[in-house]
Amino acid sequence: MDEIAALIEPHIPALRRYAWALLRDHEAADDLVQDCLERAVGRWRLRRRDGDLKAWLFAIQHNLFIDGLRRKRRELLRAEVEDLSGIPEPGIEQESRAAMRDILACLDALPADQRAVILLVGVEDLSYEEAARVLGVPIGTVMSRLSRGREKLRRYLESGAQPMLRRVK
Amino acid sequence: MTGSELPVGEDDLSALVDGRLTPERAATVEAYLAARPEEAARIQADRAIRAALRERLAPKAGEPVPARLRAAAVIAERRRIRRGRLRQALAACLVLLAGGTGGWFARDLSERFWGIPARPAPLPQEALAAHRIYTVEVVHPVEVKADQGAHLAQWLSKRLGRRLAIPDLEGVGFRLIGGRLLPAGRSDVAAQLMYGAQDGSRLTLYVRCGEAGRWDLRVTKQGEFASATWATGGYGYALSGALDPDRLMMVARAALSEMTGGG
Repeated sequence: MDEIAALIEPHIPALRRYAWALLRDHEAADDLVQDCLERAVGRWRLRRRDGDLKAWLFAIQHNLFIDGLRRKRRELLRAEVEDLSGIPEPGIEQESRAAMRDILACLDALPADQRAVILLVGVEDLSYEEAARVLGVPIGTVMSRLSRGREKLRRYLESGAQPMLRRVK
Repeated sequence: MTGSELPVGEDDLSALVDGRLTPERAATVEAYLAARPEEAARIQADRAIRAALRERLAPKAGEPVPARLRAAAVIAERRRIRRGRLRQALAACLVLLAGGTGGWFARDLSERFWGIPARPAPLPQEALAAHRIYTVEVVHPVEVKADQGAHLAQWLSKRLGRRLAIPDLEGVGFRLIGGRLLPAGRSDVAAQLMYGAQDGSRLTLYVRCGEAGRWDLRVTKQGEFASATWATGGYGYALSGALDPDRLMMVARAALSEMTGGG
């Protein structure tokens, strides 16, 4: 058991960073990491011995994130009828323009799959193969999401163009 | 220079941004970009964005990890929950088991009026032999330790062919140490659960499959040792230790009461 802890522990800071970059809410991010760790400990015997532990942990966390996203989308769908009027139009508020200068705000505007690839490869230093495994997609998909995502980020930052906000709060 | 023969593609440009190219290939791609200032500027921008994002997110990974996210804490919490669940499941299981014989405390009546044979069994001898062999072990008293409670129960249950209840005897001063698997008779298996008291005395619960008889709780003495045994549903149980028969009977009753959900 102590051995499991010793193996998992070094990856926790990166898992927290990835979770926070996706969710941008400290509590929610740590909840996601905790769910991930619980699942990892519970499935410890099922992991491939020769497999990459880091990629395995990120895959668990990513799947939990996607599950959560689906759940939220369903909730949002239900709430939509009454709540839509309350959501401000993008570009109306003055402060949103300043927010665009923040790289994270631009990242938030990307589709979730492009965001995930940019974070896993560009920040968490996963190889393209590992990122493909984490996301459960072919490596070609990883490469195309990466370049499409980067292209959008570039455009947002260079032109100051208003990215369409997609973040699901 | 095999790398230079391939045409430069989008994947090369991405890999250049991420610093994943071999030095030879990187040189080829840099040479390609030298002739294309527009694309070079794009790559430069991507690199800057990548660096900015890393820098922006770095503090999050540098934060101290909250206590609830320490791996050891997650493991301990999981173990605690599973142990609780296991006990509940086993208690439920034991209710069924005890219920089948009409309840424990009716055993004397059942023997007297319904004539369930009180046949002598080799079970106490077998259990005491195993007890004597393993309770003197200091280094390897058990195969699987109590801290792997769920695994222990699963493993022994699988080999015994029945869901094995692991009674909690802490209330009567005996803490679970762990368990092991043993051969029984010619082809059967037995499980031995070992418990230890504060004063170092040990108790074993021996569970054997292939038990033909059926009888209610009784105590057999053998020298300084005593064994409280019962058998039901094809399984024989023996709680053994160097205890006086009254104390052993008390522990056995406590175990049964604990396993049947208290009462």
